[in-house]
Amino acid sequence: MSQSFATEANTDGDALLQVENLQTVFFTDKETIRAVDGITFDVERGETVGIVGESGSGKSVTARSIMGLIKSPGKIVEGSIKYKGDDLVGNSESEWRDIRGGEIAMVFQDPLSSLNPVYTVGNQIKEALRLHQGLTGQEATQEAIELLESVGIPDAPRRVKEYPHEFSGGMRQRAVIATALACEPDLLICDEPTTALDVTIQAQILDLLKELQEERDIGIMFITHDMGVIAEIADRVNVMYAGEIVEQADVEELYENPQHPYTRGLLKSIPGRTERGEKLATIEGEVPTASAPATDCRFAPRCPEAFDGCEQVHPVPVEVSRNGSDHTASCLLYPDDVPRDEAVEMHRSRSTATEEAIDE
Amino acid sequence: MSTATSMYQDQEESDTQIGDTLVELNDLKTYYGGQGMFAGPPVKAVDGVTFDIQKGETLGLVGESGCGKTTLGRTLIQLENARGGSIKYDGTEITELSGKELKEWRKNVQMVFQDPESSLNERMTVGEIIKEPLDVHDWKTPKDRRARVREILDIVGLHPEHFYRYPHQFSGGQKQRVGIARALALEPEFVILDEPVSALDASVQAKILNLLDDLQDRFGLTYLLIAHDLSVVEQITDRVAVMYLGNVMELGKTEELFDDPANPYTLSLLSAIPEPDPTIEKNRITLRGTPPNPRDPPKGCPFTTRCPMKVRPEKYRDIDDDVWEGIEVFREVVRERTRIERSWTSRIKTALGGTDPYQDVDEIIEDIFGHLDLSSEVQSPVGEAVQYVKNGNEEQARQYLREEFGSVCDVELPADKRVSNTGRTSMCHRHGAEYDEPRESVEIYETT
Repeated sequence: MSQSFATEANTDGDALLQVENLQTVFFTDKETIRAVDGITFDVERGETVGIVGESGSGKSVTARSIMGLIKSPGKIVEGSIKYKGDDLVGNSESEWRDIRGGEIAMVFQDPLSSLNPVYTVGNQIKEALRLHQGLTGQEATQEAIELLESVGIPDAPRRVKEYPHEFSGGMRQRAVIATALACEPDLLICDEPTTALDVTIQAQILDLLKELQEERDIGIMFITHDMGVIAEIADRVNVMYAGEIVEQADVEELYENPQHPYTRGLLKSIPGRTERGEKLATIEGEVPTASAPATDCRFAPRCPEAFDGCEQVHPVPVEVSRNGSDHTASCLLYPDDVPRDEAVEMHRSRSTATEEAIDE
Repeated sequence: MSTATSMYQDQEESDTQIGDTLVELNDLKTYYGGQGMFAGPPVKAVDGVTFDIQKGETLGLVGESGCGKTTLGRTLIQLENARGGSIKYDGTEITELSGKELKEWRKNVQMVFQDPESSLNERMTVGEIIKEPLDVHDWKTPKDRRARVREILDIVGLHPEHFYRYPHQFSGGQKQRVGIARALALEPEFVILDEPVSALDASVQAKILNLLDDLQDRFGLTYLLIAHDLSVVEQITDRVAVMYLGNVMELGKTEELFDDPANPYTLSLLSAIPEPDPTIEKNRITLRGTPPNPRDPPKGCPFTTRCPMKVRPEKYRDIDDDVWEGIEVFREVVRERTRIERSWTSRIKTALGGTDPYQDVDEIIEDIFGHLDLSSEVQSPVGEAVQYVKNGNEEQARQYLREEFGSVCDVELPADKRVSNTGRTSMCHRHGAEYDEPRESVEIYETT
């Protein structure tokens, strides 16, 4: 397949979650921070979509935007978040409350701080059951026990009466997942759920998520900075950099055939992929904070392949697949089957076109 | 110094034994609590560790959280007192040092801490932070100290103007550089790196690891790298010690240990690392549960409660794997229950003949064995244990289960066995002649 510009992202309308041109901006006294700056992706039922990037790239703000957890001074200024076809942007607080937990649930990084230390684990699961399913009393206890069993906690009838501090780290994360599942959500957002855990426990949690997904056919959006974990769990991957998605592909395609220089750099800097004893490749500099709409490539200052055009033109997603699968990269190097000037010109015209569309 | 450095370098590359022994640990034990008339059993954080560290090498210390690796590191520089055993540094027994001698010796060993966020004093400038160890040890003149700080800033890749800045003005990676600069200020020989990169992003991690590598070459440093991230350890260490519950399970050359792990725990740990390559299908060993409580470690091998390659007693050698797994889970539940203290209300309830949730084991048995076909030879001992639990005798049930289903792994601490001709040692009963080697007893490894 020859390379051409990506058409508008797949908008068939049957995806579970469709995020389109989402822009979340924080207005602080000092500066305006464009934490999420025009990202588009979707999550289907039964699939796991990974979001990777360094800290500060906007991964968690993306998750919080979808959960409706952006509070002042932050604001979603543009774009839509369609869940089962309904746009969530502009929902009232009570509408959000029905979605949160009931339809979309979230698992956070640190299980200890997402559980309340003064209530038993059972109590916290029951709270979710009461709020979203109206279950109380014995019925709720029974359901809570079953949920704990379903996430692989042995001796659940006793465990349900214990407090979070009596659980080990891995078990706490299981309990958090049980709480998240209490209301049978269709979409689970996992924000670095295994980062605070040991590898052996991480393996258990990843297995558990895969199992639950198979059982319940839920869509999972998985956020992490660990390329190993992404390779293990994701079906499709979005690579984020400074608030933008710079590359989007199926997981196998991405690891085999990374196109964006940033993705390549990320993959090279993983210790496990370098020959033993060799120096690790590094990416110079750090993720910048985006304060104005992009007029250039935000990665250009750190990019080993940057050229003059990178500082003048904002790249748009380009289809870069060689085998026909969906694979886009936002980089002026592509399409690489036309002369570079022409490619840059195509990016320029496309990005001004979108800007005008937004202005209207 | 530079000639010495290059000497170590050459030796390191020529695969022979490098340098002389710098640190020698012998049966080192660090316990917390457990002293005094009314104290409960101690927490055995480090429980009999023996190994050497050679001059100029990087020794990795890996293991899950709570396995005692940080305690071992802290004991090495005498931040904790050893309860038993000895630590020899360059021939001197350091567990007996105190006062002036200890302070003098401490110049040689420094530590880089895990979290740069909390290990740097927010109220001091970076210059003051790095200068502090020099002040403490009254190093040369104040002028020399300032010059030294500027020099060391440059060495770790920071700028002279950073002298007057505060930690909050730095990024995570830069803060860790400050931590490294502080550790190097006194020109130590031996540096303990306690999870130096685990709080950092991958690309920043790589930079810090490269820096540590450069510094080692330049100053001939000896490192003890404590980490839970195995890929980091694989990348920069010469030898690795794998710790579990206060014991070193396997110790040997990094390359060998990663390519051909001998110990069941090392095998499990390595197989749990997610491969950054989606095309590799790993037949992963997923360990059940979490490490046991170090206050009440298992009798016998420390890994026995989770070991997927555990030796089974003769009688049960051929039963179905799922049933065996079920028995192990049941033993875990019983073990957990002996640990918890029953509240007075639940005891009174039992005494009055009411039902007590703690006795409700039938549901658990149903949960564990419900979908399995139990042969009578398994059913009757399990039934007997259930009866003990129902009578409130968890301890008795635990003992009974150990006698019935236990093997050599449950009663005897395995000895260190040499498992290769480079002197790698591993601690496992399966290395004995009468059993299959751990690697052969379970089917693993990747198929593409």
